[in-house]
Amino acid sequence: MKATHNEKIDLKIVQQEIHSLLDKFHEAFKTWDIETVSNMMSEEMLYMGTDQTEVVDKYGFIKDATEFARHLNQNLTYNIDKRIVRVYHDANSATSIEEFFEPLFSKTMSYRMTVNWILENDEWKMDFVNWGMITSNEQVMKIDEAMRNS
Amino acid sequence: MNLKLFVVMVGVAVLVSCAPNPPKSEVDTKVVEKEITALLDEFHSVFVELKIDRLSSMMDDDGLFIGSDPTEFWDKNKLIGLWEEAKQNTSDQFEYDIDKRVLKVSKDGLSCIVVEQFYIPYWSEEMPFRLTTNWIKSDMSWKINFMDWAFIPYNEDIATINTALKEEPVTD
Repeated sequence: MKATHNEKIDLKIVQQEIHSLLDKFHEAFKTWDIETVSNMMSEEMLYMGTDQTEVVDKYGFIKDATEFARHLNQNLTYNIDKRIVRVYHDANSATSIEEFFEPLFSKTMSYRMTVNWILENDEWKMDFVNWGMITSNEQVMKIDEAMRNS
Repeated sequence: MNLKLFVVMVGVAVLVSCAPNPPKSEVDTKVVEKEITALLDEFHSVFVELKIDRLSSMMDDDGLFIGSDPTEFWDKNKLIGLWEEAKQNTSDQFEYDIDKRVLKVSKDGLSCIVVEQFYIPYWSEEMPFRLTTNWIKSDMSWKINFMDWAFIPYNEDIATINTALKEEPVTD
């Protein structure tokens, strides 16, 4: 059931809808199905990768992801370790937070992907996608030392 | 009055009265950006000094606040408690400059996502932070409803990081 703008909205239904969309996103992303992924994004989406220079719009993402997929030439294998979906009270936007390891990219630090979802013409779209890296506080000193000496 | 002119005037009046309501005035994104920018500057200023009362008043009671360690998921009360503890237990000073700031105002002008990138040498000299905040306008005031701290090392540094951590993944 799709919650629409004018209904009295059950936030749990919206939450379930976002969960399903996230599953769809990861299934497509892991196999580099860029068309499916980009169709889930709003035209004004802002995408930020883990490298501080990776700040692109939707079409920058499509270009970079297509090139990267061609270069990598293999599917991703990560599983989601943690997921939180927060729907705002107006039910017109939501935030999702997910954490996972992708050994192809980093064997030590996990990823945190945060997404801002907006309701556009009764369809949920990703309006902001942010990938960051997270690690335990104890490991930050080790990383700093290694990077200083590299 | 000329009858033709009168008929035309009545016609115009009828048309105007039947016209659909004018569209709602569009959100002035620049105004919202200016408001949020001022609040961000204030947030960082009170954060380095751990002015807890002001920090607390900037945060939504139902907010979610997450740190760069996978175990760090806090509600407002928990985070305020940690900041109070930090204030009592340390005299260390830390400061930083914002290297990059991007604001994304929602179409209705009632929320704004902010991304800021900066180094805090006190915590990590080598890896910059990306701080993401979601500001929500409620009762005419802006509050931080979501805050996410994460590291954003350069891609070419990932191999060094993996070696430093001996390729042992850390989970919460």
